[in-house]
Amino acid sequence: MDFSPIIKQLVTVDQANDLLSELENLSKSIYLTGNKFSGNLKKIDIRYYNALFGLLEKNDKKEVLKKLIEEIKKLPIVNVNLSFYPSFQLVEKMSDWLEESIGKKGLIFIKNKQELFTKVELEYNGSYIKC
Amino acid sequence: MAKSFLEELLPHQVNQQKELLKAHEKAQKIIERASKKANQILIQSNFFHKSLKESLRQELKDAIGKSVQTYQKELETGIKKSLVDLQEIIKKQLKDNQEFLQSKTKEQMTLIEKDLLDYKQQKKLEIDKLMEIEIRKLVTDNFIKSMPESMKEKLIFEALESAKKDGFFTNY
Repeated sequence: MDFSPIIKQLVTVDQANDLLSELENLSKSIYLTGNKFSGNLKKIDIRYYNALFGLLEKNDKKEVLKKLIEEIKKLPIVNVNLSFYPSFQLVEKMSDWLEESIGKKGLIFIKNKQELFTKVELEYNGSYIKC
Repeated sequence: MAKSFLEELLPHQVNQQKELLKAHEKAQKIIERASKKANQILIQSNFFHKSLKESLRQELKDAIGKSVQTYQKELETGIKKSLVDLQEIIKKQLKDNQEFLQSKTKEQMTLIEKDLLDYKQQKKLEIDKLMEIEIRKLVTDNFIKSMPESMKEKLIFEALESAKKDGFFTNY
């Protein structure tokens, strides 16, 4: 199962958390009667909807959701502390840079620390650097 | 006068009786005189006693009066002296107290002045620090707000490149 079209859309930790919450709700409604599952599926953000719909049609729903949730949870997180809040376009660029430069998709968590001024703090996998 | 039978019979007895009577009369007179004298003596003695008593009473009264006067004088002198002494003691005590209070007040004033100065200095430092923080924050705020997107991008990517160069993402 190829989750890359969905994973690729994820840039920030907040986005990933929102999607995880929607997927967990969807997973709980698989065996519910009526149109509850399709109703919950329609609630999925449009950015992921088409890709997820395709996967759910071709595969076992429970399996798809379980593996996708696992995959999202496995994504590495890079904490970026800045004195300002960057635009979403800039965060997307950072995400692309990480994927291109390091060869792996990661989620970005931005934290505002005004005292940093023109410095940037990076935290990843227990390591820390201030540049 | 005719002699009685007894005079006839015992003439010496009758004489003796007469003598006795005479003696008795004489004794009686002596006693009377003595009694009279004794009475006189007694009266005199009483008078003397009375006079002595009066004299003694007067003497005693005078002595008591003198003693009282002396005592009163001594008492007055003593009280006056005591008052003067007490006045002196109070004066000295007041002076000592005043000096003690002045010294303590001065000491306290010095302490309060020092505390006040320390407090002022501490507050000044705190205010200076707060001002510095606020000014820095204001400058930072303005700088950040006016920072162009290109500069923000430059800052972030320079940091990412630098981290990459340092091997920060090796275990990515």
